[in-house]
Amino acid sequence: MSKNNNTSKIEKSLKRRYLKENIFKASGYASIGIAFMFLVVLLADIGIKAMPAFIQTQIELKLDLSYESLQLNPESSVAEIKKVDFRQVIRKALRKQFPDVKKRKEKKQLYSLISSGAEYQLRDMVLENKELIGNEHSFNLYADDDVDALIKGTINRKLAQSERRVKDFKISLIEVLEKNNQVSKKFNWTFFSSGDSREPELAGIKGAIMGSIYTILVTLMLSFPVAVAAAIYLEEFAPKNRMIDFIEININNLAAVPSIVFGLLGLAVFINFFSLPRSAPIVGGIVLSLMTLPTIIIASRSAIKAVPPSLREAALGLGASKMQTVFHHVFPAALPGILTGTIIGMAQALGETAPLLMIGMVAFIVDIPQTIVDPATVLPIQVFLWADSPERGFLEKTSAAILVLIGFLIIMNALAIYLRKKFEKKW
Amino acid sequence: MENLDFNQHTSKKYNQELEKIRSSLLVMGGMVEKQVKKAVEALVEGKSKMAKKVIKKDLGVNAMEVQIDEECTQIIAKRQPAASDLRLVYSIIKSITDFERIGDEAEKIAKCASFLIDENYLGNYSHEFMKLYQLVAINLNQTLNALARLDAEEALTIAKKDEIVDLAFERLNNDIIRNMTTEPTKLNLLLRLSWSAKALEKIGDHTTNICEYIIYLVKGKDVRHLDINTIKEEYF
Amino acid sequence: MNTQALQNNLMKDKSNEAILAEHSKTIGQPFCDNPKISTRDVNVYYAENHAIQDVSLDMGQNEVIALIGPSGCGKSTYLRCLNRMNDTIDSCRVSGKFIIDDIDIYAKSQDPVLLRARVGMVFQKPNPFPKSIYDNVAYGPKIHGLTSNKAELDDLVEESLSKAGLFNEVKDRLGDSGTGLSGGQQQRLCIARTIAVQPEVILMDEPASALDPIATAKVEELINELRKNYTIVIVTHSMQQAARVSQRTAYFHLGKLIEVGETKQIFTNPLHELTERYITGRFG
Repeated sequence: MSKNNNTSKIEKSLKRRYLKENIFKASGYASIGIAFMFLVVLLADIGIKAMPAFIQTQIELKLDLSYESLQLNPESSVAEIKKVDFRQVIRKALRKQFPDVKKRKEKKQLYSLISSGAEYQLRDMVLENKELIGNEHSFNLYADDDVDALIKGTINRKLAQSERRVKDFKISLIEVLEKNNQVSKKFNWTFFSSGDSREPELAGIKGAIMGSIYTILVTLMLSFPVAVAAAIYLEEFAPKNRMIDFIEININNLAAVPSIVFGLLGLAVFINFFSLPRSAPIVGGIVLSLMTLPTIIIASRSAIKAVPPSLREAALGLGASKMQTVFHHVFPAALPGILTGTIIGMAQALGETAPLLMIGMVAFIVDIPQTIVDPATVLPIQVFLWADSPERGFLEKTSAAILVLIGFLIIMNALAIYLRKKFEKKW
Repeated sequence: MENLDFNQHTSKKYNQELEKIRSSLLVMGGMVEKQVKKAVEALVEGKSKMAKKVIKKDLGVNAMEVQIDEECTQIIAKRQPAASDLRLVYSIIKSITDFERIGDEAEKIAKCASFLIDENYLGNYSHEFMKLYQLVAINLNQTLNALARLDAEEALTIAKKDEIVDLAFERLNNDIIRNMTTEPTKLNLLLRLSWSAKALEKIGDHTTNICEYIIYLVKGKDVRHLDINTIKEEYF
Repeated sequence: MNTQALQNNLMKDKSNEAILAEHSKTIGQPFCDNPKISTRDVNVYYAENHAIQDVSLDMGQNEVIALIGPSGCGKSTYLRCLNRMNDTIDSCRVSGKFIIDDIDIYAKSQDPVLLRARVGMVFQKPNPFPKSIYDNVAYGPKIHGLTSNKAELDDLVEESLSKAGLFNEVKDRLGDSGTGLSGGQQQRLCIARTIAVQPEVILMDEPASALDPIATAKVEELINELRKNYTIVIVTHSMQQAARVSQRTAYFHLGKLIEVGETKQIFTNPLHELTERYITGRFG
């Protein structure tokens, strides 16, 4: 092929063009790489830090549950069992195991091997199975958070005594227990089954999870129908006039309002004016739905806008009314987009902290909420609370809570993808 | 549609194609006009070489018909002409058939001429024959002009004049027939003369046909087999 | 020489715009005896744009009338006036008389939903619903309550699909998605969907422009069949198609109805210079 003038010019420019293309590609790879690296570092850091939280150190003790030591008889009622001082039972067992410990200070150290919550653990076990009373049994009791940290290795035994929280004497006691195979590490079910606590080894996330679920449910129930109805009206029925333009602009503005402002609104209107319960998921849900409404409205509107006009024309041409056209054809076709928008809004609400601080969901709540009007907290606030706590054991709990929160978000996104795939249809 | 112009299509190639068949048609018209002229000349002036030439050249006319036919077919296949374009192509296809027939009639005259020249006979028909020929030739020539100018009114006038040709033929033919009865020995020759006159009359008819196609092309009305006065009243 | 011929002589060297500026009255035969649809002095405005100007046209019983013209000439707009599809466009204003069977379809008392059941429409792009073939056809009868039970509905669906010449091709897969059919089948499905409502008039907006020649031929054949029972108004960009399927042809140019006539006359001997220029391809 003969090369004319243009061919050589194009050839020259080709090199330059390909170079530019390659540079652009490389920078693209680099950006994705950096983003991915940050993600990996973040997840790995949280994951590693959270791991210990899923393990619980327990100490096996032989407890004397004879009638005389519990001051009970076989006919004792539940109320009487509840009154028993199980702490003394545990302390007695400890003293029995370490008869040499006599000094008051040393005794205090000895008693602090076991968590202060262990007596309630024991009481619950006994109440659950009354057959235990009257005999001697071995029980796995929660270790104190310092012991837990020492066993897991977060407290270094080799440091000088003054630089660590656990004294040499206590370590010697632990070593004895270890030698007797009385120390064991179990999966930490408590983390998932109990509410918050001041003691790290007793603190669980179930309260926050339930709080989050209730809050999100309230948000979904309120914001989905309202937002979808608003979007359908604005897209399909609203006349094009100034009033509607004004509303549109304000919906867009609402999406940009700082979330804490919604919190203030919630506090002023729902709690102070309407006297709804403080710290309750219902108020949190209302506030969050105010915040997610514009997100869902905007996503739903663009989904409805993306429905090809030919579909509307087809239905109208057959004599379907406006309403039938929208609900038989436009809405089902837009549903995947609407659902995606909704779930993005829900995920945003799930991670929101600021407005909930304002309505009191930051309170320390031990009980697991049973209804939407019970005081509750939510996952991100639980993270916030634990991150603020001085105890060493809460560090790992914080990371674990973050993991649970991320897990929730992943589940919601997976649901979004599943629903979109399910409702998506070609036309 | 009056005043046709085939030069304004969006597609320039289409313009060229239509122009080409039109000019080919005119070339073919000129060709048969010359054939007729030469055939009659051969007959009247006893030029046997010329007669042979006319017979030979008819093949060229036939080839031309085939070629234009092919081009028209191509245009129909490729362009699906409509309205005036359709009428143009249609008229050309019809016209070339008539031109080809005129060529055949010229050949017929030339064949008769060859025979008569061999027998060295024309009698005293030379004058009458030329008169008939001139009527036909003028019509044919004017038809070609009308075709070139797409002049429907001219075409109508020409068509009207065909009656005069018919009358002239009748007169000549009657004369020949009368001679046949007086000179039965020359029947053979007189018959040839009669055929030649008939051929000229037929050329006149074909010319009229072409005029009708011109009217159809320009006016969009099929005027075949209609009374000329009716045509004039209704369409002009 | 008649007056039209004289006029045309004068027009010959003028530009389209100049001819159009002088044009005031539709030539040919815009009216017919005993019309199914009769429209008079139709004007349509899109905001400030005068899209259709003083169009008067009749459509006869069982007639296929083709509306042709260059893009933006208003033929689709006019078509969409006939079942009030233009109502859905806010900026669109329609004036003039539209009478179908003695009923003014733009009267206040006329319900557009009812009108659209009587005047069906087939669109340029095949637009089946993303539902099964059966549901596509059954949708119209269902919303209008045309059948009282499932068996009747089944019969109606089969009958409509048969009329659209599609039943034999899809009878084994009525439950499949309508969007999975080929383009031509989709368009015939849309026609079946339209005739399932048993309209009196069918409007077709370039029904074959997205189809291949074989599918186009099938749709044209179908139009020819449907003519026995319906009045059909078809907008098309293909002049050959207009010539093949219609009995009368109307030529629109920039919102004006220039010429209406029998199709055979329009395509061999149009009266108006603009029509001639359009159908012979002389729009420069």
